[in-house]
Amino acid sequence: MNLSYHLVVTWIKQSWKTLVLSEIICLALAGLYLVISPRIYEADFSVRLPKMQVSSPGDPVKLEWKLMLSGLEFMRGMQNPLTFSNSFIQECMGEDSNANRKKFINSTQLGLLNHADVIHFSLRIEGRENVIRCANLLQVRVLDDLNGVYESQAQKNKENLSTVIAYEKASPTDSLRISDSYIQPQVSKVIYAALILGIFMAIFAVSLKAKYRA
Amino acid sequence: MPSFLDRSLQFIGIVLVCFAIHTLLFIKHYPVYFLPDLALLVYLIFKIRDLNQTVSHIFWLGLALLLGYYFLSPTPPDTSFPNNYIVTLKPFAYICILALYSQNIPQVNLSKWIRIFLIAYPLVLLWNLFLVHLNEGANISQLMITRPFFIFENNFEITFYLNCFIIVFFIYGERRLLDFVLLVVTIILAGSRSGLLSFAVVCFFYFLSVGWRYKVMVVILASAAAAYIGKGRNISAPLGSIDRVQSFQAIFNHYGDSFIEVLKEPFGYGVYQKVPGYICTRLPDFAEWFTGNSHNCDPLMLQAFYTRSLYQLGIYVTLLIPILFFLLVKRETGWRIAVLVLTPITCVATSVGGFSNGLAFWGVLLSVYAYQQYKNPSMLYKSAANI
Repeated sequence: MNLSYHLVVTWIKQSWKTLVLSEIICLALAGLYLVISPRIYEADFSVRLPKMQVSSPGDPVKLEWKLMLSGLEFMRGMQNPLTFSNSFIQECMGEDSNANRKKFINSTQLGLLNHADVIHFSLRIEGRENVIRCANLLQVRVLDDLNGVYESQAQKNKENLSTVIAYEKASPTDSLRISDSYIQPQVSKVIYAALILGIFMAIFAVSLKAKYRA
Repeated sequence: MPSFLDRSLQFIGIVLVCFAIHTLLFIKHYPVYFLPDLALLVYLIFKIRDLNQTVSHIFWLGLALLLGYYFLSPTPPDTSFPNNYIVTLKPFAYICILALYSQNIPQVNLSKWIRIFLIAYPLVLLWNLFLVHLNEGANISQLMITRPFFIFENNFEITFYLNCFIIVFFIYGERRLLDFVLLVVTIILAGSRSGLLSFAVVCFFYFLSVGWRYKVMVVILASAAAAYIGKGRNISAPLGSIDRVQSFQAIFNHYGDSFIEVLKEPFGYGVYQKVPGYICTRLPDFAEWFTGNSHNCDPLMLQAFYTRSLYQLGIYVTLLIPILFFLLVKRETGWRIAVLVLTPITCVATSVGGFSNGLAFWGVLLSVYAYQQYKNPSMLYKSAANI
């Protein structure tokens, strides 16, 4: 493909009307998309995993904190669409359908913080009220699950007469955070994409015109 | 005035200007990180009127990757700081520039300036050490562990210097031992481990292309440089204590130390993704060093291009970037020179920005231009006549 400044300038001079029209169409479509697309908000919260303090196997005098379950293990469980109750999905997504269950899983982002003993949850759902409600429900659900693990582990330790010095229950590390504004659609990116698309559309339109005129 | 005197005075004048620039930067600490990219942008704008060449199809691949990562990368949580994602996208922009401007050579004859730089740069490094001595009262052993520089961190400058050496030795074919001695002095003064790696590879090619007397000299000088840097930078220390190795290990741990898991993320985590919190906590100093905040886990903190690219762009794209650079340079220079020209940038990418660094890219671009000016001098005049 040969490309020169002269070629580009000539093309712009000859096809500026198509280029401008194409840009206007793309920007108008971008505007329409921005108006009709749902506003996605984000809620963030973090939960500390339950821990127990035990004496080190090698050195009984030395004490160490041990997680009752690994964060990755818990995160994997949370990514299964079938582990959520019907009422949870109904309250969160409006209707309990398989599509909504998968949509809910895809709208959550999980990550490990600190020394892998804190799980960070990020939830992205349409509407500010929806995301607050859903995040609160999710937080309760996560704490219930983790405290269930805590109870069963504590019970097991009691039965096995294990020497556990102290326990720490699962707890939220901070309050729920909601995004300052909607995070999607991103206005600047949609406009940039429209401008770039406009250029490609103009090139395509001009070559199409040249081909069928010939 | 005799021409040799005129040339000497000119050289002294240039060296003095370099000293003045360095002294200003040494005292004032102006931000210079984006200076090579700014110079590149100025060059692109200045030379746009001369744009006239066959553009490789790789241009479209570079553009697609640039736009794809910019528009399609998942956004990080709203609570985290924004990434310096432009740095991550720079290799794709450089691929596009190389495809578009590879034959758009400057009207200035580069050979003279490259030769001057080869001699002047070690002098500037010595000047930097002298300024450190004046400023901090550093003694000789302290100066030995100082990392002198001209304008940027010396890892980047060494890459550029090696490219200049490659131009003079392998492209112009000027087989002077003095240039090699200057290179060894520069590597020793800079004390850069990644520079030493690039130097070792260049030495290998140098070794293959000289007579046996030079071969002996190369082995002695290269060993001296390696021994000096090895002692100064404690190269015998355990591998795990090297910061770049630590950051790579931390990221590899994120994939459960499994190469298969790395392969499962074909396009990486995207340019906006932060380093996972628990990985970042293990390397808090790095985050603070690069972003000024230990909680701002920008992948820039991983330092080495390959490590952060592996995480952000995925293994396939990480490997594709050097290949695309190679194909573009090979198109202009042939594969032998392309391998040589890309050696410094490929080696330095194990330690710092590499393919996302403006100065390293300038080294590649200048090598391509120097090759074309040398092989086809009429291009220089043709280009000048077009103005």
